[in-house]
Amino acid sequence: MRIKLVGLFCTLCFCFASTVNTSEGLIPLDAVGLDSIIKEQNNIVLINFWATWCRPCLEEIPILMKLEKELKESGFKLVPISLDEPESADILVNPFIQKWFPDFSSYLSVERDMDSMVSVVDTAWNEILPTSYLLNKNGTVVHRIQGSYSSEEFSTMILPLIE
Amino acid sequence: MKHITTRFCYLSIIFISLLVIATVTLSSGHPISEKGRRSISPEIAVGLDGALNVIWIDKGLAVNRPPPKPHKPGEHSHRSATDLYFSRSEDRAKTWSKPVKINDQPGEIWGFSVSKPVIEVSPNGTIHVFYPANARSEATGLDVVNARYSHSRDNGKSFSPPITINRPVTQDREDLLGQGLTMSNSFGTMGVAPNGTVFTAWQNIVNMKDAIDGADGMMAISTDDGESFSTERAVIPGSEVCPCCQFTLAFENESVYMGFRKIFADGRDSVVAKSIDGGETFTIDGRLDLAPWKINGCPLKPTELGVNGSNLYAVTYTAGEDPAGLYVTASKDGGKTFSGKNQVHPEAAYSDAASLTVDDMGNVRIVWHAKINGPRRLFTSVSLDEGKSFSPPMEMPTPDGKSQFPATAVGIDGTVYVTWEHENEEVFITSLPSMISIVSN
Repeated sequence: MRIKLVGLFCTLCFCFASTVNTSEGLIPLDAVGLDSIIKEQNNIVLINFWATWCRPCLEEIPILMKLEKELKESGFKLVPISLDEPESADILVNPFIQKWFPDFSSYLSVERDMDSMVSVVDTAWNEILPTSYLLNKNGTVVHRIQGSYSSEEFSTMILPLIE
Repeated sequence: MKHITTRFCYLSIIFISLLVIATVTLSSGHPISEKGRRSISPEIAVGLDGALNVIWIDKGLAVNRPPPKPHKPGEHSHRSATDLYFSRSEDRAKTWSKPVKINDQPGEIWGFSVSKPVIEVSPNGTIHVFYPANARSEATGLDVVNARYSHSRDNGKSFSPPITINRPVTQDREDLLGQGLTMSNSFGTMGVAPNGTVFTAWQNIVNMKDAIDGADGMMAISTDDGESFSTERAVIPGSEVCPCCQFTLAFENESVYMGFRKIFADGRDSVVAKSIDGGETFTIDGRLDLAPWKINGCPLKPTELGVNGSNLYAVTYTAGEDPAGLYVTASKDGGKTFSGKNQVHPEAAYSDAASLTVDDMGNVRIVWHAKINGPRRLFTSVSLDEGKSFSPPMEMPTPDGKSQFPATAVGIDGTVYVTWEHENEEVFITSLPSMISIVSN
């Protein structure tokens, strides 16, 4: 599975190299790519949509990074996706991640608008950030989480799926 | 008996109107923006001469667009690399002038669909434009967002060099914004009162204590048709303003109404502030009659206003109500209290981005985007009884694909003009027939 995902990422990086320069911390992703990630995963997944201009989103990032580290061995995977402008990868998002969250790795949506990307998970998304979706191992959304939440609140939702 | 007769009369008018609306062949609209360019977030204003004035954000070429280069220290910030364009129609949207770029600093526009640049027209025909812009603070040398203004006195053939309305930025709040931006004067709006006074309002985050705190509501006014503006003042002080929901303005005689989302202990909810002293002071009376929406995030939802006499209408998205979606409510006492909420689009999986107009007869029209079983499409609904009831949502016959973020304005004959962002980032326009002519026929 990991090899498949690496292959998918490489393909996506190649496809979008002309519009978005990639770096270790930021991986371009389109709606088709997100759909593939959802279909091919075999983990409990938290898809977290964020943006550099959304301060409550930024409050969550350290919490989510810590949760992924703690629960990784239990089959939990974090899939963060930045909804910043794709063109701002090099001038904004990459420098931002390097400055504030150097250990954070995120996808960057290359779709033209936010809804085109989030609709892969939620066709009725209401354009609120942060929005996260907790998926079970079957890829079914079991929680839509809007606004920033504490580590304990996330754990309350995630742990029952692990157990 | 009188009550029953009146009610029957209202219902008859609504029924007849709906029949007429349903049979009127509506145009599916046509593009205004240049093909091959990425154009989003339109706004529209109609002057007393009946001409249509539209602005939109231009994101450059749709294909083969060179990526923006990182700026060097001391160089202007091009965070968004977008421009602001203007076009005008003097023949009821049949033909349009060649688009004119308004901003003088290339790529300076910071706005997007929920922090849109705004256009208004004075009674004397001056076209006013207000927008958020990337800039670099001279005091700190750091990147900021400024509130900028420009006008045209030749029907949009040319625009004055834009001016910055907010005070020069001297503070560094990157700790709060955290993205290289150190101050923000954004999510603003502008309105022109019937006497020609130009009001600009925006949100300043300098006094925010932390991420869940609010911004201050700032205002600057021009009484000389945009030649100069008063020094900015905090008219909604105390960090009460939810800092990511765009302000809105409406006017009726001497009253100035400002819609925004206030941070309450139990939610971030829509309120209306009112000034009866020309914008010197505002009082916040009217919390909309909606269930509290508790969210620690960025709602990105403005509170659209329309006014006719002492009737004030407000429409906004809320997830406090169940089901979530657009709700419209009305005040009969000039914004002090609101009651009588109506869910705008119960059948929609998602409804948002409402634009509201009130014509000279007091008819209220809402246009919004919603999802049923596919992409976002535009819908409309009208009220002929001062907001008590609204017609069922009618999908507008826009071209196939995604239609979103409509903006509306009433023409001099009551026609409602609708401009929106269409699939593949083009700006389109169409019109809805005047409710005045429909009712009188």
